[in-house]
Amino acid sequence: MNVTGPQGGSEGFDRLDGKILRNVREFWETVDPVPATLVERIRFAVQLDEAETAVPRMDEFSLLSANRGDELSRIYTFGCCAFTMMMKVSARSEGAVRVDGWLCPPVRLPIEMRTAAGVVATTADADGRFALHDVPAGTAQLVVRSTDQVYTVMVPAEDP
Amino acid sequence: MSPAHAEPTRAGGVDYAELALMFHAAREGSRSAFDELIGILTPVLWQVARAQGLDREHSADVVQTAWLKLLGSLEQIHSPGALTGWLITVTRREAWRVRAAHRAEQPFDDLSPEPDPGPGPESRLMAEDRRIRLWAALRELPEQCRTLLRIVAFVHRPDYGEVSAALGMKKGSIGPTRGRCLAKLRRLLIDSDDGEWR
Repeated sequence: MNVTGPQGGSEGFDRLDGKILRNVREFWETVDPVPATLVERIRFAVQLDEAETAVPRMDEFSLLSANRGDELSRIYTFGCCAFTMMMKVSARSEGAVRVDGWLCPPVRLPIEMRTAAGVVATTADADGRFALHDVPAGTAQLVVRSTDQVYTVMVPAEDP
Repeated sequence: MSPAHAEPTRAGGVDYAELALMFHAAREGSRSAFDELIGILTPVLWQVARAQGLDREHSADVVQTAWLKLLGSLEQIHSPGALTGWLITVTRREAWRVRAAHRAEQPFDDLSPEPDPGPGPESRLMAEDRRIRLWAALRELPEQCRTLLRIVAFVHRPDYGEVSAALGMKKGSIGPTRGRCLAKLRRLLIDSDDGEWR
């Protein structure tokens, strides 16, 4: 076994304790392993070109309405600094969703949805509206670029 | 990436010096160092999310969210221990939020390990046998101990202080608590098996 774990110290931690703790670790690594693709997926998600610049957090989002009757779509709102975004996710086909969004106040900005399967991009129109017709389903990173800032938030681009 | 890091490190199984090195390089703006940090610290965050009772899919989302939130906050974090603590705090908070949102929909499994992937060669059977006995002993522990050991097994000792705080424990209490939990587990293992743990 070649794992460097917590070292011994003042609480009477001996070799056997070290062995037990390494076994506890191995146990959890075996029965509940990190999903094989997770680290790569996270590396991809944090790889914004502007990673060195400040990336304001747009972390407040809430489900505004879900599955009303037979209408298979979900609407999310994102409150942030310069604008508010509303986003509707609807089912499209197996493994893909359609995303419609509005920026308020309306502003023409490039929009990206980054998923593990790739990047889908568009630009909001003069009314602040945008649509991404074929987004791979799953967790996605929504990126909105304005002239001086990049806004990013994780969104559930799931088949509602 | 330099050859020094090219050797695949077991998730989190790197020494503390490397974590510190990567942390400082990442703060200086090194993208590859940041990627290394993701590889080093994701395993503990995964266990934190799972220990909160989230299913695997939601746990993956929660861990990813924690890393994304870090993008805007790395400048305010001044040590590798603080980084570990910060990420654990955010992961717990996110896991808690997600769990609250989904509680009404479906209950999550409480700490039940996934089944092992089929039988293997004899050596693996022995390993499985040891694992089964370890699980039996872990189940005997109070839940708090089980969860603490699960997380502490993935954390470097110099980070205990920050990790105590992140887990909502009194600063400095994680070492002694770990000691007590380890002593209990040790007794259970020694009582229950064939001498391997003596």
